[in-house]
Amino acid sequence: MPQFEAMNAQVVGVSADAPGTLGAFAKENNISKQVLAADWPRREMLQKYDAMVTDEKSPIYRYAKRAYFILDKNGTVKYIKVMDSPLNILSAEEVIKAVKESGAA
Amino acid sequence: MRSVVAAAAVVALVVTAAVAAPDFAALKVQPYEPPKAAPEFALPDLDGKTVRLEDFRGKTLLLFFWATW
Repeated sequence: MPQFEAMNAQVVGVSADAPGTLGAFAKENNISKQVLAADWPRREMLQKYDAMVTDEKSPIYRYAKRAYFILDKNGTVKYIKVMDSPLNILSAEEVIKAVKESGAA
Repeated sequence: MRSVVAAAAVVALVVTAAVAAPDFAALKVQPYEPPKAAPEFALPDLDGKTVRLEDFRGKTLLLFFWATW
C-alpha cells in the first residue's frame, strides 16, 4: 500500500458481499486500512462496470469477477484486466507495474 | 474439487469471450480503447461512509473487483 500512496494512487476494493461479511473478512485478514466498498445488495456498480458474473451455472453467479480497473486522475478508465478465473490473481508487483506503465500515475 | 474446476472453466469461457481483444496473446493488462469516463458510483464502506468516484479526482485509482469467494 505505501507504494500506491507514493504514486498518489488510491486502491478501492469493490465486492458484492454484504457489509457484515466484508467487515468480518477484513478483520480476519487484517486489511481494515483499505477502502472496501460493498456493492450490496443491488450490485449496481458491478453491472455498470460489467464486472459481475452473469452465468447462472456459476457458483459465484451474481458475485464479482476478479477484475482490475486503472483510472487516471480525471476518472477516465485507462486500463483493465479481467481475470479468466477468480482463482487467478495479480501479484501486488504486477499491479504496481501496470499502474506505472499505464501512465495514469 | 472437480466441480470447482469445471465451474472455473465455465467462468473462464464467459470472461474470455467478454474481453477478447486484438492483443489477447499478451494476456497482460489491456489498454482500454477508447478511454472512457468511469461510471459514477456511491457505495458504503466498512464504516458506513459513502465512497464516491469523485472523491478520488486528482488521484490515480485502482478499482479491484473481488468477493470473499
